[in-house]
Amino acid sequence: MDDVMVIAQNTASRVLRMKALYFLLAIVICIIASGQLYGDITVGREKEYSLDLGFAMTMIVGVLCALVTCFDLPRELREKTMVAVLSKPLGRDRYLIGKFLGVCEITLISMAIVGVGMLVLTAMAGQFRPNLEIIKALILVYCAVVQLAAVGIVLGTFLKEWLATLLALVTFWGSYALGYVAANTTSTILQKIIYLLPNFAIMGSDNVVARGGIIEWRLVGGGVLLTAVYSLIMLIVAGLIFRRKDIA
Amino acid sequence: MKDVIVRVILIIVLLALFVGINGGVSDLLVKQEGMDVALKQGKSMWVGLGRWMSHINWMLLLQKRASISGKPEPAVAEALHRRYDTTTDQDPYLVLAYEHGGVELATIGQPKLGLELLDKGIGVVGDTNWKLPSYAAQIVTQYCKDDPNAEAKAKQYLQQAKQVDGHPFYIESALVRIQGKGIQNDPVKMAKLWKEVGTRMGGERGLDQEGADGGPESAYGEYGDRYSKQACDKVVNILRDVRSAADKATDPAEKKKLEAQANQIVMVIKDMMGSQHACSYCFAEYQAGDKFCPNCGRDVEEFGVCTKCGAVLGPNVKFCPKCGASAPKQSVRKPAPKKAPNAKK
Repeated sequence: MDDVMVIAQNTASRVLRMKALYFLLAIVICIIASGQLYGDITVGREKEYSLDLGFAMTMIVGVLCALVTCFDLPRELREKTMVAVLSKPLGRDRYLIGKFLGVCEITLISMAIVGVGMLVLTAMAGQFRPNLEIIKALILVYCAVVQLAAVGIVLGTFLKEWLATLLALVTFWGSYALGYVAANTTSTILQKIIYLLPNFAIMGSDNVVARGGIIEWRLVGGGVLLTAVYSLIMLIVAGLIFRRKDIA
Repeated sequence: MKDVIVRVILIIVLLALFVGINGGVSDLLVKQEGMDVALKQGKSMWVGLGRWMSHINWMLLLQKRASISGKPEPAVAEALHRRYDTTTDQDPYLVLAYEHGGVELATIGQPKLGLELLDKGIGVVGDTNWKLPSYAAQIVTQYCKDDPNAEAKAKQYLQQAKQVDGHPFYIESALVRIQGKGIQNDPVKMAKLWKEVGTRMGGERGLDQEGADGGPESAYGEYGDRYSKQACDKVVNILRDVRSAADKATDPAEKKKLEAQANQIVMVIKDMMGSQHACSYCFAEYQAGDKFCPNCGRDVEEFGVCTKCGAVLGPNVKFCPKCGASAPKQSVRKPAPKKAPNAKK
């Protein structure tokens, strides 16, 4: 298990070394802080605006971090870095798991920074007091982002960086759209087919918080379980593809 | 090879599990308060950024509106409608946009677009918001006079507004005005309509203010009671008009018809007034101890008089102040109704 954690740590460290990440986080925090300045321009929506802006920024940061999986694997393949790593007694599955966990870690750190920033800034402006519902919504957003990272791992094993990223984004958008179709369709077969796709609609639960609602714990638990199972499936699929890959 | 088969089987099993969990989570999402409509009507292309985008669009809308003065070109109005439409696609619960947009589009010469937007809002929050159908009814009444179905549509909207808890009393009166338009020439139907309104506005008690155990208070508080009283006055006026017409009628058949109508209206008024003390002919109210109607001079049934000594008793009296005998129940007036919590000023 240590070797998996080492891979995860290396992946996270490499992303953390990227100055672009800090630039992104700083920009995002500034954007959230600027939400306080909109005040009367929104005419009655200033409080909601800050919270929605915070959620949107957290999600964008999360998605950008999750997409690291799409270009990290192809890049290592292209630069032959992977050859050196895999020449050691380390299974390919473990390598993939390590990569996935590393991206999950960096996504968690980034989203936590933005999420905490959002909570502090909105609390300072007296707009929203940090509450459990916001945390629950953030957990669900994180779950959706982890599902995207899992999709990225599969795509990264056999596609080029740009194509894997593009396809991951299309999957993200498509699954989100089909989530709405599933909610409306009366066809059980179509519904089951749609339910094979990752569930990104769970991140829409920020709507509930912004409207002062309460997110059920069952939903949070379901979201976490769903993400865990989906990630496991994607890792097994990625393992099947990756083991046939000629990396020499 | 064996390893691959094991993995494929594992994937199939996990996928089956995943479909089950995903279905359960999706059901929970749909049932989650605040998510259901967003899921069913929200446009998916905003992938979780819908509400934020709606804020941006809302601010742009406000700027756009500020730049419009007077009646804009149809193209500008249509562009404005598109932006309202997009904003409410992004956040289907943005009631402000439906309200402002619907009224604004109607006032700048695009009532149909305004109604379209309001209809969209009614579809989302119509069961909790009376304003949207009420605005739609006003737009139909004021700006769609050419539409032959305008009255029916306005009536439909008002009835929808009436279904929402907390709607103000003027929704009822607006509805009566519309309902009355088609039956203006039939005094009996008009009387019945006003009776229905009076009963609705005044609660089950209607206009019956007498008796210690009245019905529940009006849902509209003091306004409901006042309006209920006005409704009764309206019916009394209808009766007067019918009687006056009957007196003037020269054709015996016409006279007979009008008298029959007057009798029917009298029954309606009696129903409305219950045990309230009013003249049985002109329905003017009279006071305790009165023997003749102060309005028409006809004999009235005396009430509020001590059965033992004949002294006139005031309102809210339980015992005769002269002889101490128990006052008849009829003379005990019900205390003034308390103001209902949802009464609108």
